[in-house]
Amino acid sequence: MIHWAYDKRWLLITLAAVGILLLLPVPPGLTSAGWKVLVMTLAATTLFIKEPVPLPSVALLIVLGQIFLLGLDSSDVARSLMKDAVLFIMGSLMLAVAMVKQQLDKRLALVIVKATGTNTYRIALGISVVSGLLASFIGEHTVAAMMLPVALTLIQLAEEDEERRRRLALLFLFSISYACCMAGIGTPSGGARNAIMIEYWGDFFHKPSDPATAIYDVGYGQWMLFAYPVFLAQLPFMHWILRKTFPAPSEDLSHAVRRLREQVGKQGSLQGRHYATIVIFLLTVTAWILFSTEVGMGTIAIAGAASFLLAGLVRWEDLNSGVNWGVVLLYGAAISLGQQMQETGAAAWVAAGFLDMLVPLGLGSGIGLLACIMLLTTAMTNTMSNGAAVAVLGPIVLSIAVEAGANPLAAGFITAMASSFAYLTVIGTPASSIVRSSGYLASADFLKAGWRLALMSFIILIIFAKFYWPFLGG
Amino acid sequence: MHKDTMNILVSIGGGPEAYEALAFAALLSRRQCTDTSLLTVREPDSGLHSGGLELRVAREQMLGWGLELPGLKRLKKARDIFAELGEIPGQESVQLEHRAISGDPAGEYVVSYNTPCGGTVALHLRSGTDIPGVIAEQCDIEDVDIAIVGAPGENPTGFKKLVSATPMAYRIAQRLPCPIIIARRLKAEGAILAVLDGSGLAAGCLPRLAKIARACGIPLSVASTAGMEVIEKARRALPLDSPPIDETFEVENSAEAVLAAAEDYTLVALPAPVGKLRGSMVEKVMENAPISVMIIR
Repeated sequence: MIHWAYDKRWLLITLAAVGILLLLPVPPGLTSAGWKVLVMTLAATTLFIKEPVPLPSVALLIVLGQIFLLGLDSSDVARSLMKDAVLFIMGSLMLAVAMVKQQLDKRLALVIVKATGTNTYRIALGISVVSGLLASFIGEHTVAAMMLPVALTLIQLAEEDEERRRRLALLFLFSISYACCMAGIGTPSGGARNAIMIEYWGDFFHKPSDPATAIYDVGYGQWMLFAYPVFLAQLPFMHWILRKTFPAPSEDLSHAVRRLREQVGKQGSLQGRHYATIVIFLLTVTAWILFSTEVGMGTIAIAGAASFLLAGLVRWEDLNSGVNWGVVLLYGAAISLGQQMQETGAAAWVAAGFLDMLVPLGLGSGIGLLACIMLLTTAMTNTMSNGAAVAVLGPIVLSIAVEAGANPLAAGFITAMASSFAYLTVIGTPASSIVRSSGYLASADFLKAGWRLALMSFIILIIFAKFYWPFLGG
Repeated sequence: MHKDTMNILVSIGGGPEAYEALAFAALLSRRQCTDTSLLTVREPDSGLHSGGLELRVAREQMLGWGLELPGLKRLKKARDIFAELGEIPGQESVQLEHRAISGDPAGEYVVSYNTPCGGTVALHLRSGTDIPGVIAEQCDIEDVDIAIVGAPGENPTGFKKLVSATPMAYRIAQRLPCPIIIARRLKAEGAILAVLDGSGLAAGCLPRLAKIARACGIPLSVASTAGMEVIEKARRALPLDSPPIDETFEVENSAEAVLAAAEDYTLVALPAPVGKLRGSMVEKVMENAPISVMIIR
C-alpha cells in the first residue's frame, strides 16, 4: 500500500489539488466553466509530465471531466474527440508502420554511403540529410525507426572497442534524432503537433463566411512555405555542432562501408513492392500538397494507409500492433480540452495574466513576445511529449497573440516549431526515444549537445520570424 | 524451513558494478552450489514517447538487420563473464522458456544453464515500468536469499541532488523483500562486518553471513549498536560448522560511526526491514559507504 501510494504520489497529489482548487472561489474575470477547464488542464499537464498512470488513461479522465465537471453531453464530447487532425495522426501512424515494414532502409543505407563515400563526418552528414528530408514528410518516428539499424550496423562494423563504438554511436545516432526533430516541423505531416496547431487555427479563427479569415485555414503548402526553410537552415549548423561536440574516434570508415555494401548488396535489386511503396508515398505527399485544403489532411493520410492495405503491402495485424492507439485517443482528448479552454475563456484569462507579467518587462509585443512564447514552449516540450505540449499550450498561446495584437499565425508557428526543440531530454521527441532504445545513449549526452542546439535553433527561428514570415503574412 | 542451497539474484542494469559483482556471485555459485539468476528488466515500449509509433517497430527493424536488443546484449555479456569464470561449462542451454507474465506482450525470456556442481544459472529478460517492483516480484518467485545490485556512480550534491531522481539501485533497495547487496567493487576478498542492532532480523541473518564469509574464505567481524550481549547471543545461535568470528566490538548507532568502523572492510551488513529504509541510518550508510553494503531483511 505504501509503495503503491509512493508510486502513485503524483496522481494522488493531482487529484487532491483538483479537489482543493475546485472548492476555492472562482478567480475574478473567469467563468465557473473556465475555472473547471483550467483546473482540468493543470491536472492533465501534471499527469503528462509525471506520468504516474498510463497516459491514455489521462485521455479517459479528460472525457469524464468534461461530462461530469462541465456537464457536457456525452455525444458532444465524443464528437469533439474525432477531428481531421486526429484522423491525420491516426493515418500518419498507420502510414509510418506500413513504410517501415517495406524494409527500404537497406536501400537507403546504400544511397547514403554511395553519396558520402567513407569519411565518417560525411556519412554523419548524409545520415542527417536523408533522415531530415524523409522525416519532414513521413514523420520523425518512421525515419528514426528506419535509420536506427543503418547507423547501428555501421557502428558495429566500424569499431570493436566498446568505448570507441559509443563515441561513434553518439555522432551517428544524434545525427538521426536531431535531424528528425528539426525536420518534423518542415511539413504538417512531420508530426502530430503540426496537425494539432492547424486544427486550432481552423477552429479558433477560420470562419467560412468571412473570406478575410481564410489565411487561418492553413494548407500543406502554406505550412511548408513558412516552416521548410527553417528546417533547411538548421541542418548544416546541427551537423557542425554535433561534430564539434562528439568527435568521431576515426575519420575513415572504408572497412565498415565495404562490409555494409556486401551485406546490403545481397538484397538484390528493388522489387515490385518497393516500387509500389514509393509510388503510394509520392502520391500521398502530392495529394497532401494539392488537395489537403479541400478534403482535409486526415482523409489523405487515411487514403494512403488504406492503399497499403488494399495493395497487400502490409497486414492489418502489423498496423494494429505497430500503432499505439492510446496515443490517438490522448491527442483527441487533448485537442478537445484545448477547445474547451478557448470556448470557456480560460485560455484568454491565462493569456491576459501572462501578458500582464511580460508588458512591464517590455516583452508584451513583437519579437520579445515571440521569444517568450518560444522559451515557454521549449521548457514544456522538454518535460513532456511535443504533441502534448502543443495541445496544452496552443489555445493559450493563440489567445496571447490575440490579446497582444500579434499575428496568431506567427505565434502558432513559433509554438509548433519550438515544440521540436526538445533536445535536452529523451522524452520530448519520438526520434530521441527511438535512438535511445539502442542502449548507447545516456541522458547526460542529450544535455551535452542539446543546449548548444537549442541556442542555435532559437537564433534561427527568431531570425525567420522577424525577417522572413512577415513577407508571407505571418 | 531453512533451505540448504542459496538462491542469488544479480540485477544487470548495464552499469560496471553489477558486472564486477559477478565474480563474487560466481564464487558463491562454485563454493555453495547456489542457484543464480541474472536478471535484466527493460521498460516496455512506450508509444507516446515514440509519437504513437510503437518502439517495437524499431526493435523489429534492428532484429531484421541481425542487431541485438540492448537488454539481451547486457544479459549475454553477463553470461559470457560467468562462462569465463567457469560457472557455465558450455554454451548449450538446458532450458529455454518464453513467458508472457506481464509487461511487454512480446514476452519475457528465461534461459537456464547447469553449473558444474549441480546448481543453475538462469538468464531472465523481463519487462515492466516499475523496475524495482519487477525485481521484488522476481525475488518472491525465486525465493531469493540475496540480491545483488550495482551501486550508482558518485552521489550528486547541491542543486544536482535536489533535481536528481533517486538512483535505481537505491529504489530497488527500498522495495526488495530479501537481503540485498549494493555492490561497490564487490570482490570475494577483504573482510565482512555485520552490524547487529539487537533485533532478531540481524541476528537471524548472521548464519548466512558466516556461510558467505566461509565460501569466500574471508573473515567475518560483528559489531553491535545495542551492547556486547547481543553479539554473544548471536554467536551462540550460530551453527557449529560456522567459521570463528574474527573481531567483535561495539559501535555507536549513527551512520558516521558505522562508516568509520567499516573503513577496513569490503562489505558491511546492516538490518533494515522493508519500508523502514527511507530516512534511516542504514540508508545514509548505503548511500555514503565507499564499500559494498548489504541490507539485511
